[in-house]
Amino acid sequence: LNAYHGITVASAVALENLKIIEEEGLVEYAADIGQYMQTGLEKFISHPLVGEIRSKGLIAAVELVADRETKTPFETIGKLGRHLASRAQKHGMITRAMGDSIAFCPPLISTKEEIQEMLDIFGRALDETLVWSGLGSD
Amino acid sequence: MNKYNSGLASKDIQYQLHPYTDARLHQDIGPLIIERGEGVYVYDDKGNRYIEAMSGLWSAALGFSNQRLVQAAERQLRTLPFYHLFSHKSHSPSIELSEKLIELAPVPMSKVFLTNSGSEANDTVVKLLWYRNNAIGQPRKRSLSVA
Repeated sequence: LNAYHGITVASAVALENLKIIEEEGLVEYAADIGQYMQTGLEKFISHPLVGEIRSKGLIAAVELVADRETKTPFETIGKLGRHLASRAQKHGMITRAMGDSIAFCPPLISTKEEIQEMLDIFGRALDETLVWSGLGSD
Repeated sequence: MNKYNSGLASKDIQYQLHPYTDARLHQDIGPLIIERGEGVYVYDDKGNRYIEAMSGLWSAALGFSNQRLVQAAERQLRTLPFYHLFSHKSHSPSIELSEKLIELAPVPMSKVFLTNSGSEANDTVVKLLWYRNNAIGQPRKRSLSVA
């Protein structure tokens, strides 16, 4: 929580933020919608570029690899991740590649439709990244 | 630089160094300039919409246009836009926030120490451990192993 040494405005906004999360039951909601996101992401586990999917609640990471058995990265670490993030951005989604792990941490207020949109764009970017890498051909 | 229509993009390349960014590549491709946000979406300066799958940097938990947050900031800016906690000074926003954080803490805790960032928070923990060791008469106990 960044409240800049407890300065007034940051503290007031942080407190209001916590109140809204409580009043709107967003912790419970995030657990539900997080489950929906996780179920959607799990469908990518059989994709040729996906080495691992890690998640808890509404936070997840999908790790991209060149070899699913040995978890070997493609050429240099970060190459697949950066390419996927740039394809996703082209299709209207901002995510973050941490090395080759694609991070998901959508706002707690995300609806099912919005999570689905995120999953759809991810799937599209993932397929395009596979074609770009040439890894799917063997 | 004349391949950029937006003067802001050229100025960005000229004046800013970006974290987590290939600085050389940035000179070629330029920035994605985000102009505004609405719910889970942000919009760039050309009007393109993006779903924010990262809440910014893990941070915009309520999305990008929560009016209650706007009002809380405005109220506080009008009342007391800045004050700190040094040398026994205090103010209601930090007191109320600290009480709330202790109430929410997953393990029993007694005090909140507000800092600027995660880096500074870790820095502070190290200093507090040294302070404690000095206080209990073990000033030579200073090294820390982090798992």
